[in-house]
Amino acid sequence: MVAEAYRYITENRERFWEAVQTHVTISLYALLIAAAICIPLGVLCAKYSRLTAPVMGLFNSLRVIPSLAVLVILLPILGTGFTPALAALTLLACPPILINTYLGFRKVEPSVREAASAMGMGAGRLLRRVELPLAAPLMISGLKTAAVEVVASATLAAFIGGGGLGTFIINGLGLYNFPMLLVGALPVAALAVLMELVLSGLERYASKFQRI
Amino acid sequence: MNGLALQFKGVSKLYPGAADPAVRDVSLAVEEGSFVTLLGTSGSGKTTLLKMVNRIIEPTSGSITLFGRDIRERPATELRRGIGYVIQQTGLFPHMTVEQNISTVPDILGWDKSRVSARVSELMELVRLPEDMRKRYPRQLSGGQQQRVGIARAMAGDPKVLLMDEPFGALDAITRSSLQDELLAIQRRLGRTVLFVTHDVSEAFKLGDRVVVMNGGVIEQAGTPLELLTRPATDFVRQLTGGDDLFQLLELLKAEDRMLPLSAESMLPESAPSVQRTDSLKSALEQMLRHGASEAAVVNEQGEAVGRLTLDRLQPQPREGGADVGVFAETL
Repeated sequence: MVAEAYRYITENRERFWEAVQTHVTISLYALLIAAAICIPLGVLCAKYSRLTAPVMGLFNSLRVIPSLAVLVILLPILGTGFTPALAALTLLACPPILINTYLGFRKVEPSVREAASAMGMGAGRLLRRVELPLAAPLMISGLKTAAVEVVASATLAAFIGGGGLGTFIINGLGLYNFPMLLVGALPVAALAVLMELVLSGLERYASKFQRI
Repeated sequence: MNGLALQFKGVSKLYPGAADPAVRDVSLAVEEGSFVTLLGTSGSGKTTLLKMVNRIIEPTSGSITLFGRDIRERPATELRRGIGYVIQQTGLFPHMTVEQNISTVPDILGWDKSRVSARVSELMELVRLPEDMRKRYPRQLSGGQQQRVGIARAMAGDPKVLLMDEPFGALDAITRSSLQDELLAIQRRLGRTVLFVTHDVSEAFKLGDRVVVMNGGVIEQAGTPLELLTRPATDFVRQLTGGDDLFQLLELLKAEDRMLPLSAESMLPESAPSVQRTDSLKSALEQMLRHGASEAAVVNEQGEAVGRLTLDRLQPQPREGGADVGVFAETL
């Protein structure tokens, strides 16, 4: 069956690579947008406790909604294609990034922060040199959770015409063509494992100081 | 006469929501080059007073001047780069090596690499950290070593004033005692002004040229250790210094407080033990008992004899008023 899937890929090389490309692009965009929104938001939540409950609550309740449902809800607003799929995946990626950024910043010892400002560090330097590096291991771990979820869920984009590897899975299911299903499923699994490995390596690097 | 390093004028701090001020109308002058200990129980306001100097806490009223300049004249970050700060929890950056921790302030000040590196070596030698610890992380060090790094980091930018908030509070007795000795030696050598918060009476008396006793947000008494022992201003101070507990007194007084001047006719026997002038009378007594001697030589940091102590001088002296105070006031 795997051999048949391989033959399918070699015969439809262009279609396959286009799907991989779409899949990777949509996943990375979703992650980048989520990080760009949620890292600053997580930092603000850690600094201003008044923000914590409402912001965390909002994103946690959004997480309860299944991704497919989000797609359907967004359909009348954003239509079909790449954009609504990206929006749904971004929402999916937000909670782990937000929560881990918040936790990472909260974990910085008050005495460390006090010492840093008593040495004459300004807020910017404190953030770059002390808080970010100390929060980094947890933040990267959140990013890793989000990345694996997003790569796996990006298959759903195909349901609303967003393209990607999900297209093969849907077609395979529809046509009872298991080799075609594998053409979608195996690369998705491989991509998820790759994300996990890369980010785990990064996490290990960032947490070197905790393990020595 | 030295100039003033620090001057508190009518400083008060009322925390929002608190019924009573943590610090109430405190005025205090700290001479340049002196070692001042702030002694009190928790809640006495001593830490609040300390943290107002580098503006970690802003006073509700009153003013503080550092070498004649109001501390609010400059931005807080700039002010802080010129003031060393050491705290009990060390506050070392766990993700930075010893070297990176120590070079925090030089980095902020933008020193070039070779100058920073030379400064780190110099400071590690000063606080007696072996050079091979440069690349270690704080969690690889013992508590005492961590606080040595803390002190080195605080002194890196060559600040004229050091603020220390119970820096040795979390250390075991032996480590604490040796760090106290080294801190004293460093302070004597470099002549920095130190403001040191502690709740430990013997630490306050051992380290301070002047001891400021705080209670309930006000200063009960400020004076030399000898003044506090011989002329306690309030019952609180009397109680704190142990009242008539002779052992406590012997522990709090230094050899130099009671030593007699050297004179030609009072040659010390060869067998006489010698004690450092900053050693407590208790350890002087111990030395004398151990050597079966009735006298001891008092020596300075260079090992030169500067005075002598006899068993008689260890006798309790009248606390207030009496003629005896006059006698050893002369010898000071």
